[in-house]
Amino acid sequence: MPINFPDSPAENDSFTSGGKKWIFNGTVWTLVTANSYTIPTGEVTTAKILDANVTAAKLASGAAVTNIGYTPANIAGPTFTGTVVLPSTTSIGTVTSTEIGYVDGVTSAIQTQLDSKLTATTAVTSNRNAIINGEMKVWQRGTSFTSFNAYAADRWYITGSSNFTFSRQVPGSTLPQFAYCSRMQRNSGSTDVTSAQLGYALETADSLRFAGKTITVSFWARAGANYSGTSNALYYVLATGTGTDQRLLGSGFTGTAYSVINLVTLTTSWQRFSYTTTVPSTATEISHYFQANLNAGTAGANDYWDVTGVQLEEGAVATPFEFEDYGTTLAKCQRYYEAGTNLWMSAYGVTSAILDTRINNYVSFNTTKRSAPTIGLSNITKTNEILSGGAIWADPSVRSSSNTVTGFSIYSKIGTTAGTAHCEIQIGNWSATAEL
Amino acid sequence: MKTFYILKDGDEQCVVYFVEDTVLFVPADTANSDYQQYLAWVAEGNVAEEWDNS
Repeated sequence: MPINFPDSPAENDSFTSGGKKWIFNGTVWTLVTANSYTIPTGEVTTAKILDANVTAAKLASGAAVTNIGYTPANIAGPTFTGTVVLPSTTSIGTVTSTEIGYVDGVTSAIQTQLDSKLTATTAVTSNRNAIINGEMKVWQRGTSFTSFNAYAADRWYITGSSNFTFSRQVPGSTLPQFAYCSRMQRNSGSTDVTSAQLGYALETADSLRFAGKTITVSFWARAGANYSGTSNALYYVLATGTGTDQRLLGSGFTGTAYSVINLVTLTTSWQRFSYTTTVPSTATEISHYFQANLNAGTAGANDYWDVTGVQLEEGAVATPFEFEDYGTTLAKCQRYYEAGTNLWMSAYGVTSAILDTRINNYVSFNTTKRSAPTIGLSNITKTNEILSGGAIWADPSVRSSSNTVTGFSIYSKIGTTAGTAHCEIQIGNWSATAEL
Repeated sequence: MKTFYILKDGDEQCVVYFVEDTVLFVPADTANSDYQQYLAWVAEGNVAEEWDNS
């Protein structure tokens, strides 16, 4: 059968007839056979591929490309080597937790973007910080203390001696985000080499969420120009316990386990420090404290260390400090301590002829307490005007059965001597303490 | 160490202690840290005297 080749072919034109294929090389038609034709070196050009003569259907699976010495990427499961450059705009679908793990150790512009997104996300997540009053801005009990082994700044317990002063200070322009810091100062001229401590204890209800978890504690600290701590160091200690609602400083934990005992080196400039540790899975309480590293010599005028911005959070990274408005922090603090002034009780023309005559007043707390609190009464003034007989009103007392987490009742009883008296009682200060 | 007293009022009684000019009334609540101290104090063999506030 004759073969009618096309007239006036162009170079690389192909022609198929009777199951055979010819390619015009510019001079003559050359027969192409699957088994015998050898492509001359340099014969396969981009132009020849693009002219659609080489189609996917014509390629034998795998062999066609591997035989030319080039292994293409396996798109279904690629393995990258060298530097991989992605388009500036890259869209990634839903990733699995395993795939997220691939980000570990990656250093690239992508990582920077991921970090910024992480920061932005966590910055708006509330209640990260388990420390109440980490900003040191609520001081219901006063702002300067020389009596130790007691609570001072709200939620913060201090130990030490009368040779120290614990007070509220202003961090200054180098840490402008914080209104206040705490200062533990060895009084000028003191040779007391014991170390005062500043500690915080989380109640069990707030500790349990960290059991078995990685946590990070961060804080800002600085020293005074005459700080006498050895090597300018300050201890940071974090411990856990297995009891319920105990305080490490001053009373101690059950089953104490120290997770962090470290020294930070202070300077006169503010520095942020952080520690990451794992809380034992059996832990039911967490406490931590700061302590000067062995004061030495005679204290100068600026022998102190300052702390503020204390944060304890879940995770291995110290995220930006979670600031809180004053009212919110105050309300949280008042779960443990609340105080007020000028409670009045008065009675006029009451006679003791009526048995168990009383005058009462009731105080409702701003915030429900952690437990029934200890009620303190001070600066009591009692005006007892006897009208007849010898009736005397007793000093005010707290009715035990009415002392609850929501409030307390005070009363005064008239004495057993018959008579009639006017009475006016002023309680200058009251406090309700439900601390650990 | 605190010294505790008992204030009796009919069938009720309240644990009391003093710090300078402040009188502190301790509820009978085992979650209260002062009451825990009172119980430990009693366990050491101490006996709270009655406080007369009249």
